[in-house]
Amino acid sequence: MAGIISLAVDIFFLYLAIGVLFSIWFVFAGAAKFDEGVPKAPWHFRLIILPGSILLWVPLFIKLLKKKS
Amino acid sequence: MSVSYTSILWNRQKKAYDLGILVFVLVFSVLFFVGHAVLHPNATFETIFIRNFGLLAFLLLHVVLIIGPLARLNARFLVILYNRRHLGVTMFMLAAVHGVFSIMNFHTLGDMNPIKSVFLSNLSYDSLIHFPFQVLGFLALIILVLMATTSHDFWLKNLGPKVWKALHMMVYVAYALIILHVVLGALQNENSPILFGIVLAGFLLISSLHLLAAFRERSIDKPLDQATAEWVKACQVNDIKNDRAKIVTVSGERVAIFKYNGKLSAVNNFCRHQGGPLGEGKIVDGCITCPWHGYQYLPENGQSPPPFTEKVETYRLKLEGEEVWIHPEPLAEGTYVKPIQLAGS
Amino acid sequence: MNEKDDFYIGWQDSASPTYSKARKTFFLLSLLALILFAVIYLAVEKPFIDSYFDYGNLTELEGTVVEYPVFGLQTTVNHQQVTVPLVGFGKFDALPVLEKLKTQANARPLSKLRVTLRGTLIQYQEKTWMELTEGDESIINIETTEVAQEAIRRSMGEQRITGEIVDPKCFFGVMNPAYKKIHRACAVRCISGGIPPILAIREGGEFKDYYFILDEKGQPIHQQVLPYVGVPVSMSGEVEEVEDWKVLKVNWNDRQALSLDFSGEVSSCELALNP
Repeated sequence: MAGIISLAVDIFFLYLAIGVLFSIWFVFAGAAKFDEGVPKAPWHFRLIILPGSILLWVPLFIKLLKKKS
Repeated sequence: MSVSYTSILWNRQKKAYDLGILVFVLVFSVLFFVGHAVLHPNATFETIFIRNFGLLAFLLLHVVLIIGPLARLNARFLVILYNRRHLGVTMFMLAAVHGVFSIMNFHTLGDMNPIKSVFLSNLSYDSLIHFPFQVLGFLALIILVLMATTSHDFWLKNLGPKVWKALHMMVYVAYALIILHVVLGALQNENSPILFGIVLAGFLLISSLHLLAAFRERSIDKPLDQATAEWVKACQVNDIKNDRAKIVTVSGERVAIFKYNGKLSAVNNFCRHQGGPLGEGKIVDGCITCPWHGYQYLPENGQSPPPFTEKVETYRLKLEGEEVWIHPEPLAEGTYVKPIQLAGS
Repeated sequence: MNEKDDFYIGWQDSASPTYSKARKTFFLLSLLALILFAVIYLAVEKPFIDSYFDYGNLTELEGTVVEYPVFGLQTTVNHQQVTVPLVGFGKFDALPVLEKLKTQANARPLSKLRVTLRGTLIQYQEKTWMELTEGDESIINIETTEVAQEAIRRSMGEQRITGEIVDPKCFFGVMNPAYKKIHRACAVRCISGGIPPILAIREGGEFKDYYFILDEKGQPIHQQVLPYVGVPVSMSGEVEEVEDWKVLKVNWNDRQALSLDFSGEVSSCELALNP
């Protein structure tokens, strides 16, 4: 059980790490692809959606793929 | 929502509300720290700090959770509902300070990754009395961080209202985890019947208010008799007050029928902002105004006035004498329906 | 506005008198409840023991280094001859400092050395511990003495003792409270990191006695103890007095030698991981 928990935590950290990389691109470029309210938004708006972009990068990525197709 | 986002939309009432939250936090914290300095001088700073923020978050969570049912039971509490979002985010920040500091204090500077240590330092997962309570707090914090980081309207729009609402309803899961975290952790340590009684009283308060509100909602949700498929009798004209609405249920949906300027229009009751009951709102400056956050829609087409972009479904009405009849099939969001003109108007 | 049809709109400059009054009432009642809760909590909160961690201050102690039952310093504190157990920074032991001492001793026996160490004091009741906060830099001076200082040891036979396993660094001063379930995770980290586990005995609600827990051969143990930390336990073994400390030597292969007392039980998960 300890091994499974340890692996789960490692996966969680990996998830967050990918989320950090994704979110930096997302708040400056990605979000504007499906929300017309983003381009004119101030810098503090981008800061406020950054944490959510880290945590929810998977559904956001899927949304971007759907938009692309 | 406006066309362009900003981080926080301040207004005078929100600022007053937030000032109240700040007073809460400061009064409790000062009382807590000073109280310990006087009554428990042996307590270490870390212990006081962790307990202060944990207790504050726990108490604020109770306030957050009673606001919803209170507002359903009495419209006066809508003034507290208005800025509940800020209260929730504040509660999360307090919980985060408690959680992060606890992890730093108890799990860092050791021989294991601190997050792994949260889960692995106590492996009594198959025991209730020895259950690793800190894991419950950690999981609750994950839910709260998801909620806090998605509290902005950007997420409401881009996750969709249903997904967003489902995510934010997880506050109840977080509450359950936190209750267990407290009962199996701090309460077990303190083992004071008074503290246990207070936690129980909080739980009973929240549960009973929710049950009362649920019973009240059930009494509203009596579907109209749909004997014929085409039109359904909704109400009498006089049942609807001027500039107000009558809420009816057709085809499983609540519909708000508004009377204004000698006219009748019907829209879906569900506000596209955060699901507020439009039918409990009022016509202000020619617009249906949601009682929760003041979002507005034109009654004849269900559209928010420009530059706002929200839309709700509209419904067809007809008048037979003094009887108001509704077609149960909704029209697409934002569809114009000519208002019914009332006689003598 | 018609009072009977009062309506609240949050984005307007102000609320109507009805809503303003409701907001004030709710705020005041909630604040009152908050204050009441704080007062009740402070009144019923369990008292804290008067342990002490001299955080931020370094003290020098001079004495003889010992390795049994734990790495410590025989010295004088408050005019009393005591053995001051030594621990490292964070949740670790100070054995690297002991190794450094041995290297600097150049094969001289520890009992014939007079050592000055600097660290942060941890104190509760008459017990003193010291954290060697600066690591190797904690060694201030080493001198040779002619007379060897040997610790006095006395066997007290087989005994069964009931208490709670704590990590002594936190317990004796660094954290408070540092016992029972609320502190279990931290205690596990400390003991796992090398801090010697102690069985703390309570009588009449007060902590009265302490035993270093070793294996039946007098060797240090850490991992085997972890499932039993922070819960009431009973342990059987040979008890030994070493200067001003007591030792309990437990045969960890003998399951009958130890059990959880009262309502506790060891999780099967933990036993499986620590056979």
